[in-house]
Amino acid sequence: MSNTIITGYDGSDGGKAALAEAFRLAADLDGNVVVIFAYEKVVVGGESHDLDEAVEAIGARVLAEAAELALAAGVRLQTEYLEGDAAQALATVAEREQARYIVVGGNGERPLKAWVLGSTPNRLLALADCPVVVVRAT
Amino acid sequence: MATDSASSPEQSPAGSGPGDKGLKANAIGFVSGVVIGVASTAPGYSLAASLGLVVAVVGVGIHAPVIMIAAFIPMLLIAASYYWMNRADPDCGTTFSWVTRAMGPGLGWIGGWAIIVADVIVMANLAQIAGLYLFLLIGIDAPSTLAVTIVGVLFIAAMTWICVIGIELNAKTQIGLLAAELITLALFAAVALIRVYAGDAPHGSVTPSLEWFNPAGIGSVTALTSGVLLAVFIYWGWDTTVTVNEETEDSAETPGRAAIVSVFVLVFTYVIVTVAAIAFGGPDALANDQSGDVLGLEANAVFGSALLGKLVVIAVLSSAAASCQTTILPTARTALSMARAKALPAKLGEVNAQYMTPAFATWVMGVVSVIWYVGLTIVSENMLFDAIAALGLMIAFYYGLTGYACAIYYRRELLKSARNFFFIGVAPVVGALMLTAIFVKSCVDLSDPANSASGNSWFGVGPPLVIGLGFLVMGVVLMIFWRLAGHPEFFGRKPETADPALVARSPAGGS
Repeated sequence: MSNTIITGYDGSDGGKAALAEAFRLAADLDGNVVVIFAYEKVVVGGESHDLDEAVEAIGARVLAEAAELALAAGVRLQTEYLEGDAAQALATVAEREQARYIVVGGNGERPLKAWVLGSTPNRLLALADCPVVVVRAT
Repeated sequence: MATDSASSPEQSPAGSGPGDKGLKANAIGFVSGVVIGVASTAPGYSLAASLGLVVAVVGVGIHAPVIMIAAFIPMLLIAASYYWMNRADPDCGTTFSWVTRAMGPGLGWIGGWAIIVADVIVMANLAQIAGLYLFLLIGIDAPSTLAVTIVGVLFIAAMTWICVIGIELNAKTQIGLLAAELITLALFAAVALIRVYAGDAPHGSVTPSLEWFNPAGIGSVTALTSGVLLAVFIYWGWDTTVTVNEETEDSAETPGRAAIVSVFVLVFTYVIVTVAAIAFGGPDALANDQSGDVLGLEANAVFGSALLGKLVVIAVLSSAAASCQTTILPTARTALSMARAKALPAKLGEVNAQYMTPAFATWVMGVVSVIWYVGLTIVSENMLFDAIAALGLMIAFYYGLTGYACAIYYRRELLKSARNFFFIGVAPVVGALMLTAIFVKSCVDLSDPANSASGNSWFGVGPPLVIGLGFLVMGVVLMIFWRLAGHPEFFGRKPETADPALVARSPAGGS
């Protein structure tokens, strides 16, 4: 087991709270952070090239923002843009990195979507092999 | 230091090329490809909306099965142009992007406009069908127009919202729903035909004969084109199968095979259900009921049980919901693509950072659809007919444009091999010519209101013509305004031709 902390970041308040907690944990454990931006392409409705490009731009911007925050906090950070379901992406990377914790924001950002499809923290409980820390946005 | 590289093949910088960043690069398998193709076309809803109208065309009647097959031919030919143009330029602007490349920004803009208009028109129809069938589901056979319209508006609002927050059915749910839809339609057809042959069907039923498949039996060219104009709509949406090739497993083979299998599923379903419905109810009963709920009402009689009849109603409803999603998503994406190319206001090209969807464009689509639906309901006595025929004009227009664009874009490659000549040149152009012929003939026929099944007259001509040409003229006017406002990045674009390497790559069997 490494002292790697995995977190997801999408620029939202919940994501910011999770990122801050991940940085604190990494500092305490002398570990590093892997931050993920995951996006699941929509397969219905035909071609989606421009939309995917626009989302990739958002992902790149958000991950660059996380990298700046890490620099300011003095935390070692690695960023990854992944295609696929967020919970699945976090769990897969956590397994690959033998992560210590997964830190995610409480799903206050998209309550209705979470209600219909299940929230990322909830699904992570079934998928993750390591402890999952859920941080609510303040 | 922000990056600790080397521990992962997928380290930052984030958002690099699309090559190796997927958790599941092979997202769409063969079965999913077929399912998406068939579900995007929405067979249950398409039949409910158009079957009565096609049978009602004077001179078609029992020959409706021929129309169902005939309408498929131009669509298949145009699918070849979708395949080749998507190969050259995978872009969610589809016709807009492709026609702009091949024929310049003016025609490209009008092509994109036609896609958006077609989708707005069909939303009214979807809402109407959803309203009617929701009432059928709770046992009300003849709801008031006001009640249906209110339910229809709520339906559009709900579906728009679902698209905004990015809820999509996963592949397994889609397969399940589609299987239920097809099994229900098959059951309906089987029971109806068994009862007809057993002599157990109600008065007015007719035994199917080969004559129903005889094209020469159709009364006139007008009957043929009017029927096909209504029926092109039932295959509309199928082309999405050939444009999702980037994601498919083994993308050299799967999209082509998935598209072809889904087409056979569709043609087979349409012909069987059409034959069964005509045989059981008789052509007159179908033709006299243009309200759009003919399939639901006939289902009760076929199954002899309101409960089993409800199965068909549920199949049509789930089909309408699926179709609604496959209408809103690509239209919002077309608007997004046009906005990013500076052909529409930049606001429409924004992606919501919370849901990762083109939220603004999606809401605009929803609002415009509601305005159109309510407006059309107020002024048109026979909304469904007018909407479907106007929609047929739009589809014929922009699919035709796409067919010509394909041959023009690839013109320098056409004479390099027989395969290029037939699949990239002849097939798209023949398809485009067929659609152009249908478009022109329908415009001429519809200029006499007596030729529209509703018989309504607006400004002395049939309403579908007013709607269809009205929207095209409106598009030209809007484009001129947009051009006068500047936007040289878009309007200064020059037509291009295909990169020879696109054709030189191995054939993918898509056409």
